[in-house]
Amino acid sequence: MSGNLEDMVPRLALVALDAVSHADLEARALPVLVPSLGDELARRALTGVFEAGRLEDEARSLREVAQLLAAARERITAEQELRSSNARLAVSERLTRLLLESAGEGLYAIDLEGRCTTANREAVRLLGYDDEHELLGHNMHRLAHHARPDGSPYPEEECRIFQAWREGRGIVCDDEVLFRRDGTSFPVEYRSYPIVVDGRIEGSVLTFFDITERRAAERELQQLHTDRRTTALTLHDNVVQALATASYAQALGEDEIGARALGQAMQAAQELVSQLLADDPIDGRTLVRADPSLSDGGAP
Amino acid sequence: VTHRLIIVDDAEDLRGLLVLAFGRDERLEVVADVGDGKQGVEAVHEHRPDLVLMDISMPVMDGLTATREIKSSYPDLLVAILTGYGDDRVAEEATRAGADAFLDKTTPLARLADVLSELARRG
Repeated sequence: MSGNLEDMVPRLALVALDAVSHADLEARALPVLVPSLGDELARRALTGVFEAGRLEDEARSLREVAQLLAAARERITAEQELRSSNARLAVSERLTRLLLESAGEGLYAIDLEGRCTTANREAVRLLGYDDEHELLGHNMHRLAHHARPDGSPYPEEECRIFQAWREGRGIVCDDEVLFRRDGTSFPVEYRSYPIVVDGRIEGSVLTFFDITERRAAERELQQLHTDRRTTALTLHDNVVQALATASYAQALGEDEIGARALGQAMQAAQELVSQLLADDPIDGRTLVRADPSLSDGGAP
Repeated sequence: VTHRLIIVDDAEDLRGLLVLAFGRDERLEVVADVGDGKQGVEAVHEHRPDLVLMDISMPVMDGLTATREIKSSYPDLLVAILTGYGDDRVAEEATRAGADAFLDKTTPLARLADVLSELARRG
């Protein structure tokens, strides 16, 4: 059967619609598919039919159109899946970034060469930089972990972070320092864990925070403890000395000195207690004498 | 044999009683008694005793510092620490300073004279 273009187009459109329906394509793909009929693919088929003017050629061309439509459908489905997968990935990346940023700690990740692959804002801030890009690609050990707290060099091969992830384990550390961009340092507590992808170590992630205030509080507590100990020892020395004096005076029959020493011993003992309790409140409960018959020590 | 002794203690009553007690003991002779570590070191230079009885907690110079100074000049001179700090850690510190004996002030007076005499006799 020979045909002109006007006859052919409606029939081709029907076949196309049938192919679309047969391919079980989603309705929203039609606006994409139908214009493509007028495009190169359909033109090739139409031209073939029109020029041959023969039934078998027409049939072959129609099969070609159907095949082309099926191929187009596959391509469109694949594109849609990719778009949807990209959208999911974008959401996942946004979520990851939110998680990175909402962690109150500094966080950065490094690759196998020790180069920074990501860093959150807190890490950037703690290390004294303005932007994540100032860290990305840099060797983090050389940038911020190159010396020990005493200032001596800390070679990369001795770095505990590297050592730990090379052995595939994590590490927690609170006796090292990190260096800021301006060369100053701060005491830090960090945790570092290897990043394992498909059973292979790809790098490690490090979370950290500044423990300057904690260190200061610890020193203050230590000082308080030392002061208290010195006070206790000195006052105890005074008490024992006064009692020894009283004892020696008694042995030597020096009653006057003995009586004076006992007075001093009592005074020293009182001073001992009041100085040691200087910072502690004394109330009715504290003043109740402990009852030795109560084994659990609780008040009745 | 009488052993020549210097007493270094800032507690005057106690020091007086020790002088009195040791004065009654024919084994010991108190050649000087002073109230701080610095005076103790000076008295050692002046009297060259056999033995020093040294308190720890004192003004001007503490007894451990004085012990170190005395031992650096006279390694063979005996130093016995007598203190109210009856604590092992303080005893260790005294040993590190070079003290030959560590006595607690709770030691009875009679026993004190015996220990010092024995220490001086063995030299």
